Amino acid sequence: MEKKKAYRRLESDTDVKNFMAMYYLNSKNPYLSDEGIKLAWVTSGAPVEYLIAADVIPLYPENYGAIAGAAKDSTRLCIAAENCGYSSDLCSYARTSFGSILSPDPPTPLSEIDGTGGLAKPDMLICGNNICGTVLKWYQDVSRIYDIPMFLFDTPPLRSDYIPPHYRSYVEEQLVEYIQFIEMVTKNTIPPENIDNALHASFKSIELWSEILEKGKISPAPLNCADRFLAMAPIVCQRGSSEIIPLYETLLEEVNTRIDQGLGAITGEEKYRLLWDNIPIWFNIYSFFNTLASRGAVFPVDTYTNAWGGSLKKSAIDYNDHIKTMAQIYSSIYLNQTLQSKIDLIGSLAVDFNCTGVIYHSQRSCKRYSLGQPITKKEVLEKTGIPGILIDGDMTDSRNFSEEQTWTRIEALLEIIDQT
Amino acid sequence: MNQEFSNENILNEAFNNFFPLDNVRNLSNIRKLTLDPVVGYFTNRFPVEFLHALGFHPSRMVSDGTEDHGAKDEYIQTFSCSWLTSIFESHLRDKINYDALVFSTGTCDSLQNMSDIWIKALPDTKAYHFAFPVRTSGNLTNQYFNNELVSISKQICESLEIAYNYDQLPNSVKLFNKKRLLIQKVYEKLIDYQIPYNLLFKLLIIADLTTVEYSIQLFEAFLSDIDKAKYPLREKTSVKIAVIGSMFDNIGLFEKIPILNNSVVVDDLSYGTRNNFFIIEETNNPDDQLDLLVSAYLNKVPDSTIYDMSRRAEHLVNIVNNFKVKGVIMLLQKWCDPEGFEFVELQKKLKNINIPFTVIDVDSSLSNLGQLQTRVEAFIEMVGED
Repeated sequence: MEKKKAYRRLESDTDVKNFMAMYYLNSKNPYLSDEGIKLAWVTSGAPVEYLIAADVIPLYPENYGAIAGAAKDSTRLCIAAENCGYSSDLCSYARTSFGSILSPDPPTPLSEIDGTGGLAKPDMLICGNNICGTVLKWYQDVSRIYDIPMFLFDTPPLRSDYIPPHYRSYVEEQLVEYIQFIEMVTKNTIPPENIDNALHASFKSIELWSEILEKGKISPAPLNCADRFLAMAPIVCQRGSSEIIPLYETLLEEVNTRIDQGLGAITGEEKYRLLWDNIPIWFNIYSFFNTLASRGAVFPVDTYTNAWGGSLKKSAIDYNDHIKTMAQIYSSIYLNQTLQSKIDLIGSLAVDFNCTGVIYHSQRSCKRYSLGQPITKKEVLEKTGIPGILIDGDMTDSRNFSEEQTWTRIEALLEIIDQT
Repeated sequence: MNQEFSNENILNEAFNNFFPLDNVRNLSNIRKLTLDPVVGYFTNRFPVEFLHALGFHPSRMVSDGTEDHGAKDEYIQTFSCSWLTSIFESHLRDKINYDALVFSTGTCDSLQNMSDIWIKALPDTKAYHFAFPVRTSGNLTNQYFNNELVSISKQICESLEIAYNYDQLPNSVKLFNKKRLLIQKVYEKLIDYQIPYNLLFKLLIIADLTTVEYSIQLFEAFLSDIDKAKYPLREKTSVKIAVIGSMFDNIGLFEKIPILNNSVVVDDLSYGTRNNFFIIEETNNPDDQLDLLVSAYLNKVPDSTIYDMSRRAEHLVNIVNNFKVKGVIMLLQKWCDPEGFEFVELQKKLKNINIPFTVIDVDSSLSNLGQLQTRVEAFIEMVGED
């Protein structure tokens, strides 16, 4: 008899996978250069909408790290980077990226239809330090390796929701420079209507994404962590493109159907509703969440995918002043805020999504995300009564992950939840 | 009093008062030198002249090489900058009473996160968050830096009930310029004289901890000693080494490895040349002086947390050439991400000019000293044989 799967697969997964495969394939189309279309490598917190408006194809080394991680190939690339002088203490996304650029061995393919592997070589780099300080040095090195221009988008970290006037003008003036930079590299002026369209598409897709995430409040939760981590790729990589809107409409439809039919992301009883904090462990993403699913644990919410939706305040959008709007949004990115704001968010998400526990992925590759989690765990418990555990790991370097230690800690959390 | 005796006295007294650095913990040695409120700061990008002009005593945070006793583990994971966690560990244990602390945010992730963690762990701290620009060029960067400096300084003044008035800024700049010029002169002497590097390094740390007036006295005394031939001339065949790194401040590395102590003629360290090889243009108008101060800080040789390392690379090549350096020891502070990236490019620069180098992993408590010693000695011997 066939063993019943603990995990219900999303049909719209296939659409997302196909979309991403075509997007990456298109980025390697040899006709792009003939048509003057430029490629940019972009950090996940950079204002990609202006690139979309300029018909530039944005590519995400962070997403490449995730792909290589999920393919269990990133450790090989990290080692290759270390052999080129990069310390093993550095971010494993960055090492994966350097490994793919510098290693004589073939890089990880981007999809089943990608023959060459690795990201296409960029014409420019766009680096926003609102997600971490590491990207600054990472992109600086890529800029030197490829000898291409880089735009640094510097967003001072916020102390509260309030953005001081001098922060605001600093960021707004950089956005003006950013547009000029893109126009200089592409040798084309960006039509204002393109910017308007990109902003509308961006906010529409963010709105859809937020609505999808909100559905996690329902029990049984229609989506699990791995579903969201896979589905987030288009909104990270093509935010501002109208092409991704149908993908999220379809996903929302499927989520609603599940809700109507009372079907959850996991097939068994939801015994534990857990919140996931931080980037996933890409190299064992499916086995990790499936194993937990078989124990009746579902993750209706996480902080990582929420970063591309939950923080957007509609009141911040002013289509007549895109510079002001984008300065507000990109300054307020989750990782550009205080530890207190993270504690508050995790506490409120855990309560709103009816979670019974929190797993904090303490991962050495992302200091900005991770450092301070012991305090978060303590304060969330004090504030909400919801217990949590820290598991040590890494998003893509499997050498920094202990399976046995991780499961021992998770068992301890489940036991605590059982007793409450 | 005999001048020679006086120099030795003042220098020995300073060394005894401040080292080992645990002596700094209660700040009493600093407070003996000034009645001004003591404001701690973390990075050399902070324009100390401005705080000095406002009537504060800016004092840089140093790690005292304390061993990790785990007090910090309740708050922060092990993979954060070892220099910073060492400072944090000291403060958790001894509650050092600065009147205010200025954290540099917008720099590295460890320091940025620590700025939040610190106030959770030590809630009585009067903490201020200076969001440094990571860009170094353009009018908007100057303007932003200027506004942030003014904004933070006003907050500190208000909190400590000090009138916000920077009329004294031109005088403060003159004093700090004088100090830096003296330090630069000492470095120049290192080329020709066999001056143990640990003495200079100790004075550099004292200079960042204590008052600028006292630092000037110390460096004048040190230079006077050198001029009186207290130190022998360097042998022509002696190997000249440079040490480079980020926030490394553990004097023990030099004191416990004599061959290193006698071979280092220059550094590219945050407490060393990167903090002292620049001079601020002077003017008598306080507002103009503020603009010049900000420009100077944006244009000086940056630490690795800043975008555009070309000035740092240029600085390294310059010091290697000017100080006739034969080999470079790169001190990679454990978990210092910015330096980890920057070292790769700096190594390429050194290869281009045929200068041998070695990368050595260090932490603030020098937990692997035995291994370090073997590697450093082997490297210096190897360079000497070439």
